Amino acid sequence: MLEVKDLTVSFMTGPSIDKDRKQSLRAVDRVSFSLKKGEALGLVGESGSGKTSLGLALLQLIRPTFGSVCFCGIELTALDGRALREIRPRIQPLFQDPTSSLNPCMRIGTSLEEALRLKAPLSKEEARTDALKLMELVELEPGLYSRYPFQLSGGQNQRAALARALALEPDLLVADEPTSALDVSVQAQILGLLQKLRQERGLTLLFISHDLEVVKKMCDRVAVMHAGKLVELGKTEEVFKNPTHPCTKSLLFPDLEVGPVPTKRSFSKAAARIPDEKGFSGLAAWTAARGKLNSCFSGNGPEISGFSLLSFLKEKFKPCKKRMQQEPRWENANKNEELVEISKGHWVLSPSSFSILD
Amino acid sequence: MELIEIKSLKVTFPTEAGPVRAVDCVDLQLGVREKLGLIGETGSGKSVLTHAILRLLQPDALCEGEILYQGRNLLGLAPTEMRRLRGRELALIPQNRALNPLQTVGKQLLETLRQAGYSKKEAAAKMPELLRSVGAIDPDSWTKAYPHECSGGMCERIVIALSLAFSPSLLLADEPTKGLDSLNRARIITLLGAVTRNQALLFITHDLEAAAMLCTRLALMYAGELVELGDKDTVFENPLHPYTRGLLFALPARGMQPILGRSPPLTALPDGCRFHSRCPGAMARCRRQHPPLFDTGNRHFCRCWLYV
Amino acid sequence: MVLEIGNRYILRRFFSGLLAFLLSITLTFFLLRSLPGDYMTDLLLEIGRYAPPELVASFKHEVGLDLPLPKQYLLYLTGILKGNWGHSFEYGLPVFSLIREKLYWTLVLLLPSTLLSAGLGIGLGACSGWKNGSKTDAFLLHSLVFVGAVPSYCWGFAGLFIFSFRLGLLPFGGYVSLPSTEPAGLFRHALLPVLTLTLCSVPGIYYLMRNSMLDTLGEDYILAARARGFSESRILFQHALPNSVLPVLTMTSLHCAHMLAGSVFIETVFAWPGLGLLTFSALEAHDLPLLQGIFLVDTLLTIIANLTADLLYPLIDPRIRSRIRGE
Repeated sequence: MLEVKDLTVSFMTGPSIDKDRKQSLRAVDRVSFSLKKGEALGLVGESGSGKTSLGLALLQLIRPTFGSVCFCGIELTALDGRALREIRPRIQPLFQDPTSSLNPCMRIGTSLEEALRLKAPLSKEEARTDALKLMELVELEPGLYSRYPFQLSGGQNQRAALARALALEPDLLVADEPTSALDVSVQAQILGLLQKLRQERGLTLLFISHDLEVVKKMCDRVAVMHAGKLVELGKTEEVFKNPTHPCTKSLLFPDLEVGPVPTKRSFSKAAARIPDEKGFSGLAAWTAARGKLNSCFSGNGPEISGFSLLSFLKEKFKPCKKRMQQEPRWENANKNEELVEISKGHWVLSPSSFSILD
Repeated sequence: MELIEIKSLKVTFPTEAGPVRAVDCVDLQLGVREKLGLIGETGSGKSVLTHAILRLLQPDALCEGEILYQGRNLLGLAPTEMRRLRGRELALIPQNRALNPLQTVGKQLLETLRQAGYSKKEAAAKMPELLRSVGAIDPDSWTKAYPHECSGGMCERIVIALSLAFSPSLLLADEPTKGLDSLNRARIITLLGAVTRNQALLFITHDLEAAAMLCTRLALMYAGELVELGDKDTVFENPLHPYTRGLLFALPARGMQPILGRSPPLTALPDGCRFHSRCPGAMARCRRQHPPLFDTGNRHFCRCWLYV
Repeated sequence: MVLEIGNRYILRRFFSGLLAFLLSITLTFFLLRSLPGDYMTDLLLEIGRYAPPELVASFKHEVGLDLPLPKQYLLYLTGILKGNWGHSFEYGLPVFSLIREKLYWTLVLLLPSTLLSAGLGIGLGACSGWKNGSKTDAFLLHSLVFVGAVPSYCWGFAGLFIFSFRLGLLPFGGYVSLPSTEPAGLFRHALLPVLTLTLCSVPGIYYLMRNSMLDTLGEDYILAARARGFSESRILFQHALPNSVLPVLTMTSLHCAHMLAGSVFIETVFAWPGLGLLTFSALEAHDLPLLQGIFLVDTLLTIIANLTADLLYPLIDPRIRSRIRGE
């Protein structure tokens, strides 16, 4: 249904603290993947890895610099104006902050009706009944119909935003960290709702998140991004069982003792005993993995994604900077690296480039 | 000897709809170098509690009860005395990585260090050291940066550095991992654990896993009151209150079972137990009678009629 | 600092200002030409005579109003560039020197009252927001609502009545009983109009500043500063004030330009022969060249005020600075 090829998004960035000349930053760097109908793909990566930019580029809310986004056989990057507007209802976003994604001056019901009217001209009563039906679908009390977003809780607002997206009967939902601003119990409610809707409506889902546990629960396949690149892609169980790229590993098992933290010993004593190994698999894994894994960020963990991505990279490759100047190995490797299929449906960014990341 | 002892603290705000009790009869003790996790949903009163300890609530808020810090009641202190305690003894790591957007990180650090009693020269010398202690590799570039040029993890580190400038004996951290990705979250937790080795920590969060990593005791708040209090291991291995259990099972790693409904607004609290409308095992008594905090032994307390 | 903003930014702002200026004078040129009536007809009507068409036509020919519009426009533009703004129909004097003289007197009122009202508005607003909920706040808020609700000329009359008529402390109006270089006389004459103008523009700035201060005080970094044990005055002057003054800056600069128009009332009340009074008489008399000149100066002043705010903003706010660098 969705075919993304070599998608690239570049920004001009000024605000980097050490240089004030213009720099071009590739937020998304030649990313390719495809999405089948009814599938849920999880897009994970730390903040600044370009996953939000990728989501926005798919929605054509920022236009990609290069590459193609093919949706149901239609090339989105070639569309403009009216044609783009006509296709947009079929791909709907769900954003992180529910309160700011709803118009604060519009009642919940009005927001929904506005979206419904986009689909088909409706009379006042019809729009109202449809809106109430939608609210029932996302388990919102009908009493909230004439409320304003500020009167609702975060969870309720996210439900309303979801209802508004569903009003257009989209084929694809791009959910950008829809629950990271919500409490744990509310998060479970919203995610449960999303799963239910997927089953009932056959919704295709691109789920962007930094919470791996959530992705594990929600998605069939998972794609890992790092520094704008897709570094690993595969079935969820496969990737979680057999993470191959160092970045994936470090996401799965954040090495807790990275960085120049002064007292490792005294703290590890306190944190070593983690309750309930079965339940907190992520946490258990953290501890289990500590010290064993040399994640791709060890050495200067604390400062990763400080400043801009570029200065991070500069910082990151400081030790081998001299060598790089002699033979531009990094740049060559950068150009040549490709996703390699290591087992069926499990793709990893060419392992030859690990050496540079390590 | 407890470092801080909160005795039946009540905080009431006057609103148009009448007085709202954001914190209701909270009793808490925190020993020297103890790390306590205070867990609750948005609006459960956990931030209000920290602000009450620092006496930073809006002036019309009414605080009743006692907050004893090293035997002194903070609620009875004169404003100037309280100001002397703030920062020096009780430091806050504020929510949302709060930094003044118009000043460089260095300027804000310098200001705080000066406040902590260092001379200009000493402060300038101490600044890189302080930044290194929160994990900065190149402190000089940090000091020149403005807050909007720093990433979330970096801002959090700076805020932690600011609160450590005085070497306080109690650190109140208000949702320091909120909105951070898993890597940065893990790093900030590690960092907090490391820098508070000689300090007590009150860690406010709705992130159960983070609290499990960092704290030795846990307190859960629901609709303004404590519902469960106990050692971390006891609470996680044997959660007593239905709300605690619900929260644990709502974690994606534990099945992601949501708690039905939502917490009651503080303006319209139900009779009886405040959790009864969402509780799967609610009994007739729960609807009528408000449960007290029961001692179930083993330093484990729970506000539920199951444990009479 | 200026270098840090970048010359390109300043140049770009300057050019956009220039563009706005050109657009605006073009618009006023054609709008004025489309007004019904003309100078000669109006003049003769005033003395009760009907103007014969030949006279009107010959007048139009003499001042060049019978030329095709594009040609008139071209002549106008080249005239401006050469510094020749035309001659007033009414006074027969060059427009430029007429305006220059009147503008001086208007600025004598406008500059002090802008500074005063910005200072007072920001000061009172900050005080009110800082002490939100206190008696001072309530008092300031209510009294400024009252001040803002009364039209400017009423304050002018009230001032005249009390200080000039009853107490006899200040002159009734005008400015030229003495040579303008005599400061004491100038001060006595300008005091009431300046105060009246100030009084009218303080409430707007005050509201904005008060709200902005309240917003800033709700920010977490203020709370954090308190939690660090900083003194209240330090929090106010180092953290709260600079942050809350930002949105007020643009407003104040615009306010200055608006006061130019608002001063018409004040100048009428105090018989202050400034630009406002000149505008009024030029409109009445259908004096096209003079009107064009006045609008040109108005536009210029507004653009300068805006430009000042645009250039001040990045000096205070580092976020704007980096955005400019990124552009």
